[in-house]
Amino acid sequence: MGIDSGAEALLLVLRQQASRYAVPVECVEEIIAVPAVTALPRQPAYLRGVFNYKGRVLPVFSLRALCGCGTGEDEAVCVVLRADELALALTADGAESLTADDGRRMKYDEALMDGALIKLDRVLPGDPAIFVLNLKKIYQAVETRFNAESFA
Amino acid sequence: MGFFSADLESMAELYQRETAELMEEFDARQAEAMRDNRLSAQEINAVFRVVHTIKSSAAMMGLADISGCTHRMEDLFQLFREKPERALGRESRLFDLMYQFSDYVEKENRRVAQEDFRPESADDVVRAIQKEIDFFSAESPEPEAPEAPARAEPAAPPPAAVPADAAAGAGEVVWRVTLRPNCQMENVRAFMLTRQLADLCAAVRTEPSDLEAPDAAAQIAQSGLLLTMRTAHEDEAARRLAASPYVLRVEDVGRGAGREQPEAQNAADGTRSAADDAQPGRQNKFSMVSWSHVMRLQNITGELITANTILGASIKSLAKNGELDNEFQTMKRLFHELEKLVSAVSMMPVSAAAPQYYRLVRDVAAREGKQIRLRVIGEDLEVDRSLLDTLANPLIHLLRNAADHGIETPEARAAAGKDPRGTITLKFENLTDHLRVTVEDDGCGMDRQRILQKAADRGILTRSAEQYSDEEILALAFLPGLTTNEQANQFSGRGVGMDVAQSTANSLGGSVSVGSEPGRGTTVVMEVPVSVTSAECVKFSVGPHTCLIPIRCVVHIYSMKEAEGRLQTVDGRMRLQTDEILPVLDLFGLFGVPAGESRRLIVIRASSGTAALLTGPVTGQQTAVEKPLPALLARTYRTRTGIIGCTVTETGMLGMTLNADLLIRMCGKESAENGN
Repeated sequence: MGIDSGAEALLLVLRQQASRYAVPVECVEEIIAVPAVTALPRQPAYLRGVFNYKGRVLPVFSLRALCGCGTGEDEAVCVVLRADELALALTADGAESLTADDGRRMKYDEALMDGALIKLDRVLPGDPAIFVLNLKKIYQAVETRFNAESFA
Repeated sequence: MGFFSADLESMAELYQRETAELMEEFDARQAEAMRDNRLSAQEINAVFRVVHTIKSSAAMMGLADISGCTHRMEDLFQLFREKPERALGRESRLFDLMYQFSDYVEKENRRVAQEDFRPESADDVVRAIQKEIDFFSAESPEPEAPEAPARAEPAAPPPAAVPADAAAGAGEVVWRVTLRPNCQMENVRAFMLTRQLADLCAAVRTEPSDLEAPDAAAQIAQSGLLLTMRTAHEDEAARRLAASPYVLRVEDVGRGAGREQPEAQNAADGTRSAADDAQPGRQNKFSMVSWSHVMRLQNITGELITANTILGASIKSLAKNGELDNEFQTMKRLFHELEKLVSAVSMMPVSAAAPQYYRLVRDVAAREGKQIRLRVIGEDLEVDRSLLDTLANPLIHLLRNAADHGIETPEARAAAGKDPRGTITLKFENLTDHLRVTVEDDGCGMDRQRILQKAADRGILTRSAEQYSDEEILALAFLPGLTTNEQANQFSGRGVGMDVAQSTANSLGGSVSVGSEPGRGTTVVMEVPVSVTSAECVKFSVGPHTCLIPIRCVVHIYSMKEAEGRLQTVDGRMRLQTDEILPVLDLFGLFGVPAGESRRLIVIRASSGTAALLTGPVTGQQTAVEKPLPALLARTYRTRTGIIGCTVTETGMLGMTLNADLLIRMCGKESAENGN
């Protein structure tokens, strides 16, 4: 089950200033306090660094910096996410709620980071749109950007 | 609902494990036969025993297809047992069939414990075996041979005419083996026990004599298994039996004349039990452990060493006057003993991995019309299984390259005055803390002009072709996707072999080098650390970053004052004058951080050469348990920074582990880019 399948999914909604992003709950491993991270040489701004999560080195991305809205230094929560073999942590202003989603209402928007985000509207009448994060595509996009930008 | 009934379901995992073990032996025997290009009687018997055992246990599990095809294989090998020379000179077609058979059985066995398992038809395999039975029967008729039984009997034990306990012949010993209650498949266990003794005993007879008889299992469960044998290794035989998890007791119940009583194992009452073996020095020697548990144990050991390092730093800062120092050192010593133990548990002989390499080379040779012999040297060497598994991928690529592009056709070799049969040597050597793996072929060697041309076509060259040294040209072959072959085939030619070898070696903290002589062949050498758990490292800083490099790569550390007079700048590049002139890699520049005031020059050495690193202060030494970088930072980041992993430092934060080989190569690249 996942966002690609179009099946019903439970989502964890992350707050980034006024915007809301969501991840399928099956990808959420744990919600933790923002860990002390180790910066890597030549890391881009959206990568806060890496940390030792249960014996595994995970990259920590800032949702705010990924969206190009500044640095993520004061983000308050960290969500450890896993999609198949890929694992990463994402920091955000807050984790708000779980919401039931009907896959049929997902509207794929290619303009957003080459498919890394899926716009989800009309969750509740009057609600702002939620952007569902496609973790694999985000990982790929970040990988491409990272390799291109870090040594430019 | 699964394939197996409820009572068999619990046995599926056991069946899978035993069959996997048996097929490993099958593959190993085939590899031995292929190495010698002949099937010895010993190998024929071993294969026969393997297929016989699998046949019986598969039948009990209701796996008719497996049972059916192993039965036919048994019939085929019965032909060779009767007359081994049937196979002489025609081994090749037999090896093909053995591969087809093992592919099928191993594939089925991998799936057997899955919930949705459904047996796949063995019709194709059975047909192929039958074809060979017809071929080998017809080609070598044997009028005096006994009529082939519809169901071949096992090689060991042959039927006993009289109950064994009443018929111990001269020099024979009779043991009663009692299996644990409800261990199930008692007759299969019995057969496996006799198989375990095959190399120790001149002959083994059993009672019941026909272990395949319908009531054999019940008879063994009720009265035990009587083993009559003649052996010079009674102690070892007894130990092996007692080591089986299904054996409750082994009793000495009779012996024939002509042999002295063994001193070690005869208790006054002539009884020996598994319980006795629980005494110190006599405990069961082996037990099967899931590999995932070993891996977990390895990881936890690494974590413990890391946690202890952090604890040590805390103790140092909190405790006064060396308090707790002894306790900490004891902990450290114990953890390292644990690490050694875990490493020992994970060891397996290289020979266990060799069959796949023999097969690979044979397949390529057959399809490309070449004659190639693979020599594996160091098969007895014991290596950490994780390491062997990790090395399998690059070795497959390198062997493919050697067979496909290195070794010439027989005609070309003959025209060049070479033996039409080429040789590839795969050599494993233990260099204390390093494993060296060499893939060497006596083929055509690498064409430097073609490498240069291809590199130029891809825009890789950073200066004119004439400025590249031999070594630098060969190093180009390590670049991803660079191949000199016009067309890729199903085996190789996409330029990934060298690349995979290098990235694997680097990810393990090792290095790779290549040498090649036109017309004489190519040699690729991979060197990787033996320990996959930890390495002693020198720790230093580069601006805000903490870095670690294995101490074995560090030759010397100079302060800037010591280096004064030795440093020179040529064409904007720093060099350090030691016994030789070394390139200097500025890690501050590489990492994009301002250089601090306290700087050091660390001279490092790896298979790719020697160089000096310009770093910040050296802050100590640490046992580093390396953790891989996130996949995100996989190849490019590693090759551009020399950082191959992270390790938890004494502060609990992560440090960067550096690879000496990558850094030294960077010096070469930098040198090339500067036109030096």
